[in-house]
Amino acid sequence: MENTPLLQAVGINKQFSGVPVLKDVELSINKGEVHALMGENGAGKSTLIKIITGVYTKDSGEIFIEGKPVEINSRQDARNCGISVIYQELSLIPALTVVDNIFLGQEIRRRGFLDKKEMRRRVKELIEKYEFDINPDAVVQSYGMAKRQLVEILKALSMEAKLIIMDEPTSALSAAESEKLFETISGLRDKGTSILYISHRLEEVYRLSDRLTVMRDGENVGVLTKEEITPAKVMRMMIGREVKQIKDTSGKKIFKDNVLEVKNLAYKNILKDVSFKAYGGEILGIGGLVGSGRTELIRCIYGAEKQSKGTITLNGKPVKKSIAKNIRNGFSLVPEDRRSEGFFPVLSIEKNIAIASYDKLAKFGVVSRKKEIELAKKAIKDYDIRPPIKSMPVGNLSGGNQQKVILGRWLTRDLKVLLLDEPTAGIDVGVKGELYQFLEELSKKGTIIIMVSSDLGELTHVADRILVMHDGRFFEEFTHETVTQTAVLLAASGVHTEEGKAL
Amino acid sequence: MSKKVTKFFGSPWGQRVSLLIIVILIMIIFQPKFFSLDNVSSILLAIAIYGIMVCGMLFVVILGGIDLSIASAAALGGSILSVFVKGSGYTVEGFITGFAVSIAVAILVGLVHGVMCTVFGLPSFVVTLATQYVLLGAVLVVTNGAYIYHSDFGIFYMLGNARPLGIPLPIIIFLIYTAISAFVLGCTTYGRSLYCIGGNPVASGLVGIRTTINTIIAYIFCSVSAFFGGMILVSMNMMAGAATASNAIGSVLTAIIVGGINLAGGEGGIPGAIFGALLVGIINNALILLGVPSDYQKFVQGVIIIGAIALNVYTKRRSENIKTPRKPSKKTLDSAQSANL
Repeated sequence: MENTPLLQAVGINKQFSGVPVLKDVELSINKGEVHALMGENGAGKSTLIKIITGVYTKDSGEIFIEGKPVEINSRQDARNCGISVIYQELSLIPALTVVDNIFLGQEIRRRGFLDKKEMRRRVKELIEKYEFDINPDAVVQSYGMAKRQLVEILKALSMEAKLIIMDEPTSALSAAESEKLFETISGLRDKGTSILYISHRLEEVYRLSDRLTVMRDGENVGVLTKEEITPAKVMRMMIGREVKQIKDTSGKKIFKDNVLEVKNLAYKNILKDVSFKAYGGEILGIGGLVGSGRTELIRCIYGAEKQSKGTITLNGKPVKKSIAKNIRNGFSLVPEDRRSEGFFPVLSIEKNIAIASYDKLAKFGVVSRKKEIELAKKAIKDYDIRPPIKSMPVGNLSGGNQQKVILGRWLTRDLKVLLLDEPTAGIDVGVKGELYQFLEELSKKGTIIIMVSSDLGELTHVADRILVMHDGRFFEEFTHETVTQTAVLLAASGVHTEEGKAL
Repeated sequence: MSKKVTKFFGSPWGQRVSLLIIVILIMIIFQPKFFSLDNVSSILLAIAIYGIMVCGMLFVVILGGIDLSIASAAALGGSILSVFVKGSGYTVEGFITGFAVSIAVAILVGLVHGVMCTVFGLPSFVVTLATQYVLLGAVLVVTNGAYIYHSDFGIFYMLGNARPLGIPLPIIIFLIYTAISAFVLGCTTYGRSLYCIGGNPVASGLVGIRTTINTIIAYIFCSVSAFFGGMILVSMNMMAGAATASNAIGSVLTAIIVGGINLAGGEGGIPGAIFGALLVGIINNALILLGVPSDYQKFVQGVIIIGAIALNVYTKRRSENIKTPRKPSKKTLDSAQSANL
């Protein structure tokens, strides 16, 4: 029983517009095991999951459930095979009760009416079997993230799921809640349910998983059993050959007269005690996992959040808590989610660029049309925004060009500080290179550039100095010479480079 | 050349103009009286009052809100002015006090709307649906639930009926009001900020726009426009009461929708809205001249709204299809990128 494979995927291939994303991938999950799936962003994990759950169709390959070949072409097919997914964004309807949510779309009926009694009875039975602390009649919105997740798990179990896929389940949970979730997962395993566990957090993976599959660039790198798993080994497998990026730093000048100083910064429970100095002419990379406080740090510097403790000064002067004033003093932010926080989709390229510069383009509140057009034309030309039509709504551009518009908005100003949060997420490689070029040029002019990124290649390639955050603090600092991708990953998980070597 | 013409008639403005031409052609054929100076002037007069309210409403719509209270607001504006001028025996002082009190109340109403929608984060739809009744209640209190009839020909009468250079004063006020609104929306940083707030409120905050204050100002402008329009209307009709401007909300929103303004915010301008008001005014007038019973006029108004929305959506889709090649989805980009890592 213990070692019969529940799910076997063999030779899975998938291409998107001619680009191979999965190359002969294999995955084998035993009955009653917690199987972890690891890999860097873009390694193909999500695509593989989507194929197993019927969101995408594979180009070739076969999937077996308990030894029998199956075709999974829809979510319904996956459900019929006993596969359920618990997504990062939970799919519950807050205003409905636990029972209603669990049976949503698969209600039990009797003579055309809902059989509420029977549904409630079944949910109660499951709750008792798995000893969940859930009230079947509670309205879901009264529950926090952790309990909602339990309801999702119940939902999966109610569909008689044999395999439950969890995608970064602890990303929204506190430490105590995560602990509870691990207990739940162990409980499920002991009762014979298999779990496919996807996480960036190494420590969770070591603790929980019986086996671990590592993916890189759309390929399997290997499968490790519990005894074989060590952090250093997993990291090496995830990253592959250590590529030392060479960056020409000769002739790079540090501008000592432009300095941003952050002292003992704390924000809510997220930032605990952050101090650093950044100088003009240097690109400071900030690494760390999502939720380690990176985004909050740069939002505090920008004035979008108010820190609870600590000081931020630019050239000795305390930074204001007004975004408008900070912008006038040379601050700028390229936010993490450009669609919801960065650009104005229905407005033209021209307006999107000019919007931060009306202090220069307008007199007594009246905009100079001529200057506005000149600015837009210059930005479109300098940053090669395509198509070069200044009246085009930015919502119609490609991701890379949208980001260029946001950058153009700032780079046409005299910047003292440029803050970037995941600047190249979802941007194609060609545009990425151009963006790095812009940053390099700006840096040479003496601007302080602080860039948060999850992309290790980007951090090690672009940044002159890297600070890695872990749990609201700076955990380790690297220079361009000492950094390796493995070291950054380890630090992000709270393991020092020296300890990592010992493992 | 012919290509240009086709392109023009495929564009939103081209369609608006062609619609107008069609209506005017029909009128020339069936009702030559349509072009008499009297009739043109009466069309413009009808548009003038709603046109002023359209300007105010447009500010709110552009930033992604709506003000459903304008009809009650107009009635209240007219009633307050009426009570003061009548109570004072139609003195100039009475008129000025009434006017000032009315505008002060308007500012207060707009302030409440703005604060509710920004500080408390309530949907403008709900807030103004409620204040619509509050304001109507206030009208009944102010007027004791009865109509106030006027019989004076002094300054109060002049507001709605004077004809400097032969042009009715409301039309002149309307034109000035429109010009100022168009200038503020099109040429000032404040105007730019409204489009941004409507287009993306979060991003607006992050580029340093004072979203709260700017939103409140727009709601105040909308209320003031409604109160102001109501005062002119009361002077024109020489009577005030709860039914003053009772169909304003319908007319104003129709004008805005027909003018091709996106109710979701971030798009549109005064020319479109005024064009919408013009078209609706002309069609209403045409229906009267053609002897269509008033019951059917409402019917036609409804059909026009639906037709206008359908046309807008259709042109927008078509122009988007032409302009932009299908972009690859984010997913494809992500995966393409990962493959190149």
